[in-house]
Amino acid sequence: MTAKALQRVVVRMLYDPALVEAVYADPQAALADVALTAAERTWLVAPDRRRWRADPMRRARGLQALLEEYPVASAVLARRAGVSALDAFFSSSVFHGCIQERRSLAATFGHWLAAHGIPLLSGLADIESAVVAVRRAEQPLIDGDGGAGYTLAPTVAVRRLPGGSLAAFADIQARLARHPQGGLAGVVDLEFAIGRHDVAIDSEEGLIVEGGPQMALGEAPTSLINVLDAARKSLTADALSAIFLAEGAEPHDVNDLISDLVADGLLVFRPGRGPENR
Amino acid sequence: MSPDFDQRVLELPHLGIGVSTEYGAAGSRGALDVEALRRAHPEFAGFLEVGVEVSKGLDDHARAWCAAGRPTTYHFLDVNLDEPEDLDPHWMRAVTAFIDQMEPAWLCGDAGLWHHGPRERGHMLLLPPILSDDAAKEMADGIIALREATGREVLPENPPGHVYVGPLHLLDFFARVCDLADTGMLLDAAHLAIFQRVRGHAPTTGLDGFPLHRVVEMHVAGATTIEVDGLSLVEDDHTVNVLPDTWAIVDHVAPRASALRAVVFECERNPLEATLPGFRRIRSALAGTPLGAHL
Repeated sequence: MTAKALQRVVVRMLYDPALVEAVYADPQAALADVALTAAERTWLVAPDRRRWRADPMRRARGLQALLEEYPVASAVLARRAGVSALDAFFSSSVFHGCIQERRSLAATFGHWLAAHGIPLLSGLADIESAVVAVRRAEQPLIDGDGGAGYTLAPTVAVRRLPGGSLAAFADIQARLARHPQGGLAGVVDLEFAIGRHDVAIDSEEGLIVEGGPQMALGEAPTSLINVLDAARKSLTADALSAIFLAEGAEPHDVNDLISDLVADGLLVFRPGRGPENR
Repeated sequence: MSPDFDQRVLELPHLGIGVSTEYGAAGSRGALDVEALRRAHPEFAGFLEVGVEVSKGLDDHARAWCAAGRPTTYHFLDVNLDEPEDLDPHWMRAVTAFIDQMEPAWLCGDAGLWHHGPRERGHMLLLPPILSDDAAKEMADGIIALREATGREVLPENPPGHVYVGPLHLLDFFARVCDLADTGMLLDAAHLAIFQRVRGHAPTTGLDGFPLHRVVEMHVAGATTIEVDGLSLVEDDHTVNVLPDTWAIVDHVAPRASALRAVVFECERNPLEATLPGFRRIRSALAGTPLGAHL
């Protein structure tokens, strides 16, 4: 594990000149969060420190890849705090934790955007993070234990958003698409207007993202989102019914509702070996 | 598959001199026309080394070459050999399908960090391994696992880099990997030349102690010198401008590599006429060597 931990520090240093300076100044203090030996820390500072800057475009390429995933939320943050605020991701503790713990950079960027304390930005980042998750859903997005029951379909993601997020998203997305150099250029062109938007933090709306050949985003009642979100873990028929009832469904409608969600491809039933599902 | 590399290597074909490609390379402006090379100079197009990223697959040029039943090698571009979780079922299924399509003589590729974190877009990079004993052990374990899963030889290649971290010389690191995995190796002469410059060594430093009988394949490629903050760096850019250091390594290794089966001139984005001097220089280096007898 030590070599892997060290390799991940190397990646972090290649992206973050501030970390390079800190490591060369005091390796032990700068890397206190990583279990490295004293010898390994000396290996990091053995190269000429200019070598860490050999690829000056690495960070820009990395940011471009993330802007392609989060154009709308990034456009909003850029207009509130400047493009440098986006670039700052690569010096954040969130970025360094992501690399050191081998997590998805795109998913992490979404969480980072959403955590800026700006409700509009949070809603937009949540929408785009759902798309990011579905786009990567080679494996099921569920956290199920492999047992029998109903689960959210592998290429479906759901979110609860501040009221008005979907309308703002659609409007900004459409405006960016009209940028003469393309939407990505529009994200960082601060002279390019994307309109004024706000969201209602005292109300919620639901989002369903469905993958497949054509990605589809749709609004849904939050009661349905609550049911589907619960099905991120495998649920028996009884447990799923109980959630429907808690969300206000009529008892005589529950079986039909479950059948409809399976027919629509939002839920899947996985037969198991448990006696309750035979 | 025999447990002993010295026996297994006898089963590997002599592919001679070949060229490399990756998805989309042949279609780029001014790129090498591999079919034209094969028609005009078949001795320089003995096989095609296909760079494969399973998320992209094979382009039309590579598919046509494979469909014609011509020799190939499979150069992976998307696996961290030292991470067991990287050999996941999804990736393994895709690799198996490409092997069925290509029938490669072997698998090979840079034994370094191809991507940080999970394998997904935006995570791509290529870094050399940490040059330490425990990293060599983890790399060897991954090579064995992939070899056993595919039933093909897996030849680790020394990657390029600007920063090398760890106490070992690159050749000592790969000697350990080869020994622990009982495997052959793809020695990239251009990458080695870069390492030697980074560490301030002569081009052939360390080769005297390296098990050259493990070298099954070699890469030759051009490079460009750049400057960063007054520091001279060598960029491995696959031009046809092969550094003298790289030729010195080729000239040292070729006569001593008893199991050498293939040499790739990595020049996929250069026009045919510009590549010919490099091909001829490689052929000259191989004259009188064990592989030269098969050309």
